Amino acid sequence: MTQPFDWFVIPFAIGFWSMMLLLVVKICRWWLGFSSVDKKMALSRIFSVHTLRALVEMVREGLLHRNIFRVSPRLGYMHMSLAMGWFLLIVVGKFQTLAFTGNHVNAVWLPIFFKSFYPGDVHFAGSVVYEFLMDAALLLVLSGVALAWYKRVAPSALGMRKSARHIWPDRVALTFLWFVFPVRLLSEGGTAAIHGGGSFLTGTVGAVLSPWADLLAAWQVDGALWWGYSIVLGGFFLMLPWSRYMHIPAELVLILFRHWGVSPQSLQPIELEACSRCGICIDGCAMLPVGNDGQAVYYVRDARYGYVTAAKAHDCLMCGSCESRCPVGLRLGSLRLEGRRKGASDWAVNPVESASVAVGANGGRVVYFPGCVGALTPAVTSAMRRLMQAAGVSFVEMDANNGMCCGRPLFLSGQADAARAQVAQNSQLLAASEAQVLVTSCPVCYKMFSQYYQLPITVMHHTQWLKQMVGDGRLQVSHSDAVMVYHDPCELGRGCGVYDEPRDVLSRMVTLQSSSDQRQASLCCGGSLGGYRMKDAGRQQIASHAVDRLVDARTQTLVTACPMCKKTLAAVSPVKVKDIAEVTLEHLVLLPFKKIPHQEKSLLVTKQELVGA
Amino acid sequence: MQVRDLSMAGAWGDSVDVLKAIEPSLVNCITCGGCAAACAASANVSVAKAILLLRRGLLADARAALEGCLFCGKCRFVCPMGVNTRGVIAALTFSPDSSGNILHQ
Repeated sequence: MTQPFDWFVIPFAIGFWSMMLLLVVKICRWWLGFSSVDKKMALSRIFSVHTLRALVEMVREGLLHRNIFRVSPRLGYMHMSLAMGWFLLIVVGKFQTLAFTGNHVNAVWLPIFFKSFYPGDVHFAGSVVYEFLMDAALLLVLSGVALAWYKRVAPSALGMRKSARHIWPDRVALTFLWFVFPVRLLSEGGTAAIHGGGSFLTGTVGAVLSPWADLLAAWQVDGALWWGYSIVLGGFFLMLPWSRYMHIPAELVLILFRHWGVSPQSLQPIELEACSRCGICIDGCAMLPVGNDGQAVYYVRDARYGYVTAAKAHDCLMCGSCESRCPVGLRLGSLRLEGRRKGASDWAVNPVESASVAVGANGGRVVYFPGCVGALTPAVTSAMRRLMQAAGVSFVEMDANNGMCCGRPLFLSGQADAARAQVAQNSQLLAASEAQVLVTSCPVCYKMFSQYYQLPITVMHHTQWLKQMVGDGRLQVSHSDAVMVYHDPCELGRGCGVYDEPRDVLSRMVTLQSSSDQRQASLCCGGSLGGYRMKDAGRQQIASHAVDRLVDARTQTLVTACPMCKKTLAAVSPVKVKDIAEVTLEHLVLLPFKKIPHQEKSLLVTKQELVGA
Repeated sequence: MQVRDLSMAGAWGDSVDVLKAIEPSLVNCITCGGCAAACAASANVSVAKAILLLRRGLLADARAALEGCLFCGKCRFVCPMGVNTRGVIAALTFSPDSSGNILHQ
């Protein structure tokens, strides 16, 4: 059977083949950018269960958009109907042409313009079913397009406070996309009006238009509509690789390579193109109260087109809210850090003479590090000392000379090499300490020590240690009628997934209020080390916003577990702000009044002594 | 907080004007040295000293006064005048500012 052709397929064909060519080029470039280890890993997993798992995830996220349904069912339906409806049009169209022609390979435009080439009631095996399914799929897509139009006018109707602003390639592609399916409906409807045929949707449109069928035929309106359909569809395909719609193929490739074990570093170029600019990250951004426009969606867009400014890379608190909201699971924090790393000049950290750790003092198996700000947060540090003593834990304090830093501040500012030097030095000191457990009061340090150091010892945040001690009965606490609300520090919650331990400890002692902005939805206090360009006024605005959302008329105390959060929130809070260690100390039964022995200076080992030894 | 402008306008030279544009809280510094006392990095690192040197127009020396900084922000924690010390250090040392000026080159 010869393949039908009409000149109107040309715009579509140009758009389609230019898109396919660019996609092949892009995928080859991604592959060539992988390290040899990643390439080997990916190749070894092609014929494995990982590929099957990737396919399942592609259906779940690429078609059904399950993660967006979790954000808002209506928003999820919008994305699902567009993706699933279009996918069904392609698949059913493929089988329709197969059933009609009997050929597996047909001209690429045949399924798309099928009703133009074979109008009216064409009968072949299953033709009625195919027509019905094609109309059902078209209706599904059109419902999504209608919601997309509505979302532009009223984002809140689809569960979003703010919708992303788009640049011109996106707007052009979006306009084409908005018209593709309505024009298809009109083309098929016009053809049905003249020649008959069509199922419940296109047939009905045809019936409505049929009184003017002679006029439509005389003016060749159906032909003009098919031209229009070809132009908008071709236009969309032409713009796809240059616009946000590149996320459609890029996300699928990303899912596949993730399952094939390619390292996150190698995946970064794909991640930049896999962002659909859906804007779901915007509503969670901690910088919103200060009117910043550096949200992840805009940062990733600028990084993709290669014009990241210092402001875009650095005006971010690295609170991780966007990353926890992203339906594609992009590693937005790492992408931002990559921008900071590239923009930064070299900065060498001198060996820090004052860094110190006590060695085997008092047979200490536990090393306590209050964080570099330990000396500046005496309430927390002394509460922890007393609690450790009350629990009968022999411990030594790291950093008695106030000269230690976990390295995370440098890391967050893009100084990865300087941070690595810190990590190496601290690891050496900790190894010399013969400690088995490291307890820290700072979530920033906890994240760094637990995720970026390879330490042969257990690292705990003090909330985890408290839970263990209270759970074991080594610390006896009483329950008071105080009403408190807990603020999840970014680095502890979203950064390390520690949500339950502090709540468990607090609910044994006080009435703990819940809040809509807790756990993963926690608001950054604004004092984060990730954003050093923040002015005091902005910091206070962000902190006030967080406090307003957390504290209500019943709240007596705002509890947190981070020295930064405590200080920042206390500056604006109408109620007292305390660390969880202070609250535990207040509720401790049989508070010991023993004097805490100070460590002797001779037990400290410094970096220089280590190197000299 | 109402803060007297201690900037001695005009006496600082061009680089300081650029720095002030990036980090306006710089002019609040009263060089009390609290930052240096709290510093985790080394006895030689001092934001107050750096700002003092800047006021004398000694950009390179100011930079040297921050060498070895760990960027931990303890200085910001203690600063009684609300100087965004990390912003000052970043602008002076390793971070380009939003207008593309890179002072350290």
